[in-house]
Amino acid sequence: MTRKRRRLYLVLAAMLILGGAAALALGALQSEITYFYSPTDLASGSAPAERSIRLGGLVEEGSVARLDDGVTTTFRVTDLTNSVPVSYRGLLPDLFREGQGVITEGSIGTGGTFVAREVLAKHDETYMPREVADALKKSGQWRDPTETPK
Amino acid sequence: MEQVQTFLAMGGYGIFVWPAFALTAVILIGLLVTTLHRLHALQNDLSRLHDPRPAAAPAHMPEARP
Amino acid sequence: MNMHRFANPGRFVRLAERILPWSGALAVLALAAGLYLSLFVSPADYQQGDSVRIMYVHVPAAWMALFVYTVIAAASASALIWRHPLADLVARASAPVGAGFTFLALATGSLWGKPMWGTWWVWDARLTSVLVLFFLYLGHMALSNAFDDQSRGNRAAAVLALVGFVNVPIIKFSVDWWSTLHQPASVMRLDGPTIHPSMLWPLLVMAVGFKLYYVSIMLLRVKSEVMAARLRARSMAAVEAT
Repeated sequence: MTRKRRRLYLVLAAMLILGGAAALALGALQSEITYFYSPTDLASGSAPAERSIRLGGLVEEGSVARLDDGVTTTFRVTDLTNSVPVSYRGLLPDLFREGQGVITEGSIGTGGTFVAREVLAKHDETYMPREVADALKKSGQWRDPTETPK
Repeated sequence: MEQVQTFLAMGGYGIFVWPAFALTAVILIGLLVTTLHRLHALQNDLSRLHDPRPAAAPAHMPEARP
Repeated sequence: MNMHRFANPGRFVRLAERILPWSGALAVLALAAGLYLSLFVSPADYQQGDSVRIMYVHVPAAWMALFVYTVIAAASASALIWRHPLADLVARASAPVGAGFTFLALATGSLWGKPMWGTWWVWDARLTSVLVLFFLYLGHMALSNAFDDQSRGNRAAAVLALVGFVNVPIIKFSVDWWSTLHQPASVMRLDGPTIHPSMLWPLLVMAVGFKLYYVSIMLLRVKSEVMAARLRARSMAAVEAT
């Protein structure tokens, strides 16, 4: 009985210490684990300017343009407070569209334009059939992701 | 025929959708088969031990199997 | 090695034999229904098109990866603390199944990520922590068979399982704590699912199928473990008698 009790306390204490250590370690690594920076991070200078970084946000409505060379796309990435102009040469993922989340990897080029080497589309957590989405838009109940940032 | 082709194409995502389902089937069925295989092998070994002839030693130790 | 240690597992095997026909039949039924619902009945998503169907195997596999690990951790705790004779066997029986589910979650996620995100893999917090989970499973399997004396192997694997359990909440909340490429939870969230019912149902049926599949396989494997232990005890007794 007492041996079992002692083993129980031992395991509980070990788990507690382990959990605390993990929480501390992850807290210290916070900025390393963060996969991308927001346009506001860039504007406030809390993102490293020299090296290559990932910039994440929403593709601003009406900002996507394809340049005459046929392979370069320009758009603005916004977090609804700040926005950054981005240019990218290459194929875009299927989920890339205006108003949707996007993560670009690259660095700030001349004139403040973020030159992306890679563009990844971020999917939000909503799943619905097309007809339902259309019906919601029609009835005015549609929650545009650019209006309600999480 | 056309319907079948549309279905298999999965709106252009067929090359991603079908491998995902195929892989799931392979893993689930594979795990079941290896599990049943080991169970039957152990059942054979145990029943051989129950056999009255004492010469029948177990053919192999179970822990030798991965 | 006295026989009363196997009295309890013996009762478990008889119980397992009563449950197995039901859990097996229901698993086949639920998986067949889930397959039909996800391939034929579910509509295409308004954003992802038909690639959303990958979600019907990806999400249940990922849920099971976490669930099976939780079972292993709970079994390991009861093996270490109370020396429950079945607990080690449940952990041993579950690890390869959990590893299979984790591999499936990673592989099917990759197959969805390529067309949707534009990449097979990223090192974000969610994907990385699930990869760590996969290695924990492999480590558990290796450790539990690493010693000639199986109980030593089980002990080592149980410690690993408990240490690795910190990873489970990290996986679950990684998408909320850090900015990740992976999307946040859609079903298990406080404000209700953000999946339309026509897509939630196929997912839930499939998830039930996966869970019943695990229960059935786990029972079969625990039965094997009990038999292997009996065989070891017999052959050891035979060696001592000669």
